[in-house]
Amino acid sequence: GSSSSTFESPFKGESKAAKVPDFGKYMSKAPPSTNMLFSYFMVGTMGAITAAGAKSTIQEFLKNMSASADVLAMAKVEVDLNAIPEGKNVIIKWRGKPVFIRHRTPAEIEEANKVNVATLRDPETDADRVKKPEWLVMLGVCTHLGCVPIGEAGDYGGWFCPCHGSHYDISGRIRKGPAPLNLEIPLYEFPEEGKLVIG
Amino acid sequence: MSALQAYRHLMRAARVAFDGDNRTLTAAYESIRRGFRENQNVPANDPTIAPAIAHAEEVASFLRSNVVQGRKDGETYKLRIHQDTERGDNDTIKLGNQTIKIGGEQKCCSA
Repeated sequence: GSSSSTFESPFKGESKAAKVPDFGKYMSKAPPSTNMLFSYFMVGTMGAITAAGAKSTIQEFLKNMSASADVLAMAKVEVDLNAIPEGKNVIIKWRGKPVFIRHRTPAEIEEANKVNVATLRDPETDADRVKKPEWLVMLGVCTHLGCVPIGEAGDYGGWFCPCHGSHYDISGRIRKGPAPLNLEIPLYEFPEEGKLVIG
Repeated sequence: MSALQAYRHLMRAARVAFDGDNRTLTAAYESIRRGFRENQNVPANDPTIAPAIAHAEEVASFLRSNVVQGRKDGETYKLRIHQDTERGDNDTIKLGNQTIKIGGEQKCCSA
């Protein structure tokens, strides 16, 4: 009779398969950018670090590809020291500041030690400033008003701040000009042979 | 310098810079392709072509020598400095006596 003509929809109410499963317990509690495996750092000589144009294109692209600023503000960086042969240096932008990593030659170390420490404005021996004499690690931020000092200039064979004319020597010590202190040394360590961790 | 050359240089530089990071690498490829496709109908004698190609070449060389990949390991990013990464020469610090532009291109405290 009439019962044979009824139609029952196969989609009755909520079936198990129609529900979107809850993936909540698999999701990371941390904000997405904390989990990012890769981040990108700017390196190079001063010209490259300060150059506009190409750099801004890349920064714009990497903005969403790297961990966020709050994560990077806490991050340490590890450098394989074999990548920097003696007599070479690398400048890495780390936590927004350029870090100079310099593999010094014996001549440079000798020059840094020759200075009469008592005559300096901020007296520090070269040994106070380095953990291993062949590696000089320091922040490239002028202690006067925070410009970035440049190499290849200055009266003391080191760095020169173009903003107000502070001269630093080969160990990054202030020698002339308005800056009150030597170039700052960041926290760093050599956890094992050939490795440098900054931060 | 042809556009095709610049395109190839960019693609290769992206592969060097973003090696192992597929997410960024695909995004880079995509954005390079998009950039070139946007200008594909510009006539060859257009005055905007040369600067655009020069910019692409600059980006390629910057990617290759001035971008270093950090791979996260706990709190530490391990930097992969490769053979094309730009390293400074310690000796250049002794050149000295070069003309310095005070407040020139350098960004300064008050600027």
